[in-house]
Amino acid sequence: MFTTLGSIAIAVALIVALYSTVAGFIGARRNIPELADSARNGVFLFAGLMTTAMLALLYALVTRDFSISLVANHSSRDLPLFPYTITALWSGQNGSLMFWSWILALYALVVMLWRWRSDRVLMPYVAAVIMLVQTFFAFMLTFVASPFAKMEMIPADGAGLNPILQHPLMAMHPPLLYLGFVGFTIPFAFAMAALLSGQLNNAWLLATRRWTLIPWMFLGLGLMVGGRWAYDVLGWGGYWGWDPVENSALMPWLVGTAFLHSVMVQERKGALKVWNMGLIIIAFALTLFGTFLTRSGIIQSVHAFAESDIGPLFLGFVALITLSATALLFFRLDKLQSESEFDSFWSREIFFLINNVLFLGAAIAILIGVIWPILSELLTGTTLTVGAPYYNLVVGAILGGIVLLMGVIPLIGWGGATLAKLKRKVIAPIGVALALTALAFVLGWRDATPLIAVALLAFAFVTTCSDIYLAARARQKNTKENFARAAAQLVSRNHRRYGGYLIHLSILILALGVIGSRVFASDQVHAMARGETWETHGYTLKFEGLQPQVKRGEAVVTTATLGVYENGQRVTTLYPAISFFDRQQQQVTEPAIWHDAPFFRRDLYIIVQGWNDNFQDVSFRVFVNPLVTLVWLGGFLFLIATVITMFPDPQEKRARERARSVPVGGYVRPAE
Amino acid sequence: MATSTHSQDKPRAKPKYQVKYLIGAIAIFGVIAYLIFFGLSQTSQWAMTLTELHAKGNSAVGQGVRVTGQLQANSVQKDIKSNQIAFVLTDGVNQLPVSYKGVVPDTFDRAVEVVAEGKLNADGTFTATNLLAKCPSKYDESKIEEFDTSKMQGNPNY
Repeated sequence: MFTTLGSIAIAVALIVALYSTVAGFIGARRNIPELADSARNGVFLFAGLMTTAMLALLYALVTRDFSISLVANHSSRDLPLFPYTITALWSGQNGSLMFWSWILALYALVVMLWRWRSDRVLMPYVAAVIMLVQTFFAFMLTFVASPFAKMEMIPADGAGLNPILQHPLMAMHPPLLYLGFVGFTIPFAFAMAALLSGQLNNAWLLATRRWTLIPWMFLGLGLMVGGRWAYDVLGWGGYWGWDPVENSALMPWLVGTAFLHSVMVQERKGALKVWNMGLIIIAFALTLFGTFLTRSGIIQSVHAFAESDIGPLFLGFVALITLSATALLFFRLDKLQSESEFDSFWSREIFFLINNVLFLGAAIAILIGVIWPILSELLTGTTLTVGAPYYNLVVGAILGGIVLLMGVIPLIGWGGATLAKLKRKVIAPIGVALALTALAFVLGWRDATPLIAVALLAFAFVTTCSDIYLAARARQKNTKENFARAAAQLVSRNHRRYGGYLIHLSILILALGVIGSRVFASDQVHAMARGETWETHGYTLKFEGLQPQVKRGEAVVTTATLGVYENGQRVTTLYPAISFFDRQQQQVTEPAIWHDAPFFRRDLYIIVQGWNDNFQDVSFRVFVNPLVTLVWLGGFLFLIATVITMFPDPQEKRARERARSVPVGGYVRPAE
Repeated sequence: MATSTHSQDKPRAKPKYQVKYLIGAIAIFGVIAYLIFFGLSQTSQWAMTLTELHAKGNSAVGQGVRVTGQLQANSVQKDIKSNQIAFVLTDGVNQLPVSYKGVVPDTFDRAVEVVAEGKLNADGTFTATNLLAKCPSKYDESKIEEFDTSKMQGNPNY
């Protein structure tokens, strides 16, 4: 009964979405407030209907209603209710489409409540654009990919959830990614609203900065959590494999990063207006295109969602959205002219522009790598693929350039500096960077690539820190506070600037972790008989025993015991295992990881590779991953810094008030 | 706290076309395009089925190939001590003996299709540096099917 209710709710939601799209558009165009208001009410109603459908599906999952195909395929009687029976909701394609639509409905609800009254010109269009996207999703859920589809025969028990997905991080990873992907609809809707209404002042930009920051943060976190899950569960000692699915989440993140920077140039200089519109269209299109890529089966991915019929529809929708948005942009080109010229090459705005080109270039490089099998087939007739070596080389080089800019930008102000002044400022950071690089060389780093990387990271680190330090000192002089207080006050007075710097620092820490753990990772395979010891990287590993085939829950687990000694002292015991899940006929490797203190030095990461028939010889794969903890530390700091950046500060409140008083076509120059 | 606004009645200074910045942006994109081209030409692998690989004959020798085929029944030989595995890929007609040293994916043994990345040798055998397994699904087509546990094998950068 509840499932019927859910199906009906989705069908009604489709009608509501269609209505709101039309009503919002006409209401805004003809200036009929009642019609516009009804479009907004449609947004509320849609959220209610989607929530109803979500609850109906949740009910089916919790009551183990195996007549529903989604429930039968992704859960089973012995699956714990919380969290995995609930997370099974988005583990299938149809469930995740509904989850997507539901999240968008919630975003839309919040946006409408927050801004409807204060912006009567843009908001009806915003409602119309969001509901156009919802019409697509509701159509898919009603006609193509119903989450309430029935099984032909009701099984006694479900197929269960894939064992490697039964992990707390995997419970968090998809919702975070969706919050990121879906959230890019909001800035896109504001941009389209500005184009449709012709209100192309900075109101849409100021309104969307935070709504870009939120999905950008979630997408970043989703990527981090996914990487950590891969590291803890998959047993290949790494966390990022340049797989198409990972790439399709990274591309919109990179374009979003470019947008967050170029927005500042438009706010200050009234320039790059077309560029910004273009970026937000690309970012939104990439979120949908990624879904198409991974669902259509045209690209081989290790995530291997098998082919499904929603691919072409997604491609059609992406094409429609991108083309009409681009056409709209061309139609409004005359209203999007720059209001000022760039005064000097050595200015922050020019360097932001270069940074934008690089971020976009990185996204393009990844996109070409992802679609290379199709592209090469068209161009040469032979299907070619590229993997990690391509991305490491191309994207690595571009990211190196971005880190260099990250280091230069604190040294130059808005509007411009002279080269002579810059030269004076740049000497000390270069000196420190070279000293640190020399230190890395002395410590045994010999290859050119990591040494160049360290030099760039150190340079950016020093210029960023010294900018914060000097500003805090200046404040301290005026206010006579102690240094820590002055620094804290500085950040709290200007969240955007100093929060941004903190994000930079977190990315630098993460980058150092990536370099350390990937370039200097050691990967060895060694077979040992019981009681045998093996020395590697200063550790002595003693294989103490193998406990074969013990039943644990659904799985049959074979666990090895390894004593780890350092300098003759036993420091820890590791239990790498292989479990076999009979229901899925699936073998899962469970790595054992020891985070060697001091906490960021390195990880000892061991998996069982296999054993011979009498369990006498067991083969282990042993990774030593230096600095890998810095990756997670950087991710954690990224979260904190982004949250700081997001909160309104006194600067922004003033800028907002000014924006309200600015006539159409004007622009605001926020104070530093 | 400089607040400057351009109001509407003031004629907006129409900037002259900033050619040099355009050239600069094109130059950077040019460098990126070259990087992409260089990366593609250096690291591309052929992606083909065993049948297609066979059709290429000797021209495929030494070329980086990502070949897809079926695992021939009872052809797998493992040596735990030396971490070696040997097996035969087939498309029903042609056969390709593959040798591999490294981690075998968890799902390898029940794979319907195996993807081997590596090089074809002159003697017709294949030396793989990476293996992927594709597996049958019991109930649903949209489940996450396989994970490449040996992803980083054989790549010095990983």
